[in-house]
Amino acid sequence: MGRLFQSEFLKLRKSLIWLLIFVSPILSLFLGLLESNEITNVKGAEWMTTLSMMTISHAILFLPLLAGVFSSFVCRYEHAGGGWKQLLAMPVSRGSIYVAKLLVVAALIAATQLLFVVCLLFIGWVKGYPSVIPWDSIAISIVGGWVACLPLIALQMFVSVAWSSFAAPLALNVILTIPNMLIINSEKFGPYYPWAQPFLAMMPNSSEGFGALNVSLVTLLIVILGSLGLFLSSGFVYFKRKEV
Amino acid sequence: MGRIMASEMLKIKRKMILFLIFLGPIGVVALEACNFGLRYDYLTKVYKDDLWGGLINEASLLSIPTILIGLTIITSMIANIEHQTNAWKQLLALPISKTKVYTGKALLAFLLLILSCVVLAGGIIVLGLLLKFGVNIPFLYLLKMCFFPFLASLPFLALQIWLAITMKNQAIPLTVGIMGTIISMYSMNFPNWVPWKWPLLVNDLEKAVYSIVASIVIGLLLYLVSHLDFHRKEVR
Amino acid sequence: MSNYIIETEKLTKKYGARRVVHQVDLKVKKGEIYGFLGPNGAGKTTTIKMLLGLARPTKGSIHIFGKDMKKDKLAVLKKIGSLVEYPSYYGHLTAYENLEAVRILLDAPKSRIDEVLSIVRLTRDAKRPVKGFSLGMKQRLGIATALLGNPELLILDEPTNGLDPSGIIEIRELLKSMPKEHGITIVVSSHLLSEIDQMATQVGIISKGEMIFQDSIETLRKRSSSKIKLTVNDAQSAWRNLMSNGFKTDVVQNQLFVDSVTDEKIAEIVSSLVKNDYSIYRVEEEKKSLEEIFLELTGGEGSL
Repeated sequence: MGRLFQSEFLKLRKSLIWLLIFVSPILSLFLGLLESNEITNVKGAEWMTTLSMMTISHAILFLPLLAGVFSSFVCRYEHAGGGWKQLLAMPVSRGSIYVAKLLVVAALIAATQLLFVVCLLFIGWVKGYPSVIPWDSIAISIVGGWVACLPLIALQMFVSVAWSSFAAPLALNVILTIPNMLIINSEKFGPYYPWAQPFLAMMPNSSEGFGALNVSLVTLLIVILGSLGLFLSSGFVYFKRKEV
Repeated sequence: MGRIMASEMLKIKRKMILFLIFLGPIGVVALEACNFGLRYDYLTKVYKDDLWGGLINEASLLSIPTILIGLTIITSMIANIEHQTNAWKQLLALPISKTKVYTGKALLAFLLLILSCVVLAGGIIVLGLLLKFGVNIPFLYLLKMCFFPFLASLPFLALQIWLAITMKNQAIPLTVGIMGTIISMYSMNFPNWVPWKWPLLVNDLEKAVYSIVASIVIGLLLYLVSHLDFHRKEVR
Repeated sequence: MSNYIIETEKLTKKYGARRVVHQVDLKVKKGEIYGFLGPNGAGKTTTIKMLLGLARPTKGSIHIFGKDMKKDKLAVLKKIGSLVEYPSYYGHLTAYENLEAVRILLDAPKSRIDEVLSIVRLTRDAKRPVKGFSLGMKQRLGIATALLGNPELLILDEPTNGLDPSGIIEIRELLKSMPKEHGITIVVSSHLLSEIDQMATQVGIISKGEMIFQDSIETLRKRSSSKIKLTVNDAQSAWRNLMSNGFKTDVVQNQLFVDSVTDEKIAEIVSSLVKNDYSIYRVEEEKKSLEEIFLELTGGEGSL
């Protein structure tokens, strides 16, 4: 498994696509720097206000789309150079190949999330926010956003493996992500739409939060983990049976 | 030129391109149908003075990113028809000028997206009538809100067709396009000269005309430059 | 257990209703170079994909190294190097990195990369991205990749495709030396008989999905039974004359052909012709080429 991960990493590193992990945090950084000037921060809640602000630009569209782009990409060079037949004729199980690719994408999303925190801290430093940083809430938001991306990665990996075109899985991802712009506003439907979860999980102080999380237990168990299980297992079964 | 367009139309057959061209606007209208259907009382109260205007505005909120991402995907798919099978060398060896080949692709993308805007306008009218917003349809405003965002996106269309045609690796144009769409969504506070802000039409309508004129000029300019670049490039 | 490295039984593959491979019993012994021959579209690549576990057989079984491919796939694949159809590569990586990406998976020593690069003469281009390689170089890289894991069995699908003549000879010599030097067994497919003829020890011929010949190359050559060709002044009349004297011959383009017969019989035919005042210009032995046998076997399908 480790060796597969290493091999995937080698293929990825040279492709420069990993540079995309910087884009959204940096955009959020600029928006954060720009917008906080206009809004009078609630005393003592500066960190969370800025986090919310940055989450809007980062998690409504960017995060779900990024999950799709990365998934499509780790499959693209296999489709393009006939890599599947070489890879699948290796003495490595198909299951671990699939998991390795998923892990690479999950790691890239995790890196994006970490950079996002770095940018938040940078804004706080520039603006002289209180030195007491609400690490708990920030961690919940960041990790929650990452977990909520996992089902999307699983589905995108499935279609990226199945379709050799780069545009097709991306189109599907866009079609599923654009409704976010409406659905996140809906108290009733938001919690049930997997593509809206990265945003909802990252947005602090939502009223329905379960325990320390930003999403309810039902959402976490059924929508996030449920869709993850569904997409992961169907993709897995497909890949096991795939013929090249 | 007619023959080129006919051949281009033939090539996009069974490629899902037309399907996406219709899916985009129909999807937007369907989402708005859900939006208004589910929150009918609330939304009709918010927009009680101008029901049609409210519907059109809500729809354009979704249609703008759809147009930007749609043009990214469509241009990439159009170009990929040639990339996928290495058909460029065959196409460019035909007795047709490179200008015409390039223009054919760009024009095809333009026409398809215009078609998409037409479907959007039609869809909004149908939805508004179904929602019983009356027959007093503000046609001029509707047309503006359906077509202006696309016209204001012409520089991006030119950019995307350039990237998609000159690069074999479609991941790059697609990524650039998606990035641009998202930047555009949050460009509200950018200065007026930034092209990413234009499709939002956030300047009042009179000024919006300026950004559309600028967009058309820059779009054409980019098209000319990119077509020269295409001319210069050798087929690999 | 049999002494075959590869043994398939009634191997069948259908895509929908289309039968691509039908009841193929492929048998490859250790140390052989097995030439897998057939016209384009005969089912060679599909068979090879099934051998490598890339495609699932609809029916039938595959045993490689005596192990069932269905159960012990990974253990089997560990000992196989392969190249299927066109070579696989990652265009954005250099040749060295391409090999490294595979080496990590095989857990082979790093030094092996330089070894295989020098075997296929790519050492000098190792640091260049593969997308700039010619087809022949990609093909050589593909063979290098196949050799990376020190395989006991090498399965190569059309390995000389796209190579220039000197490249073809080089690959051929390389493959021929392997069974002797390293005890490697090789399965190599081709649609070119001349190709197989020059390196294979065993031949399997597949046509329309069915194995129509499987034996040593010598046996195939023996089939090239000879004919005797007689060139005479008036072939038509000579033919009639011979017929009336009880000699069976064929006349094609004013030449007489006698199917392989004893020397005495030929002598009788010649003396009969001389007696009847025909001028005999030439008496030659004509061997059927392997191409002709091949066309005969495949029912004339697909040129070579």
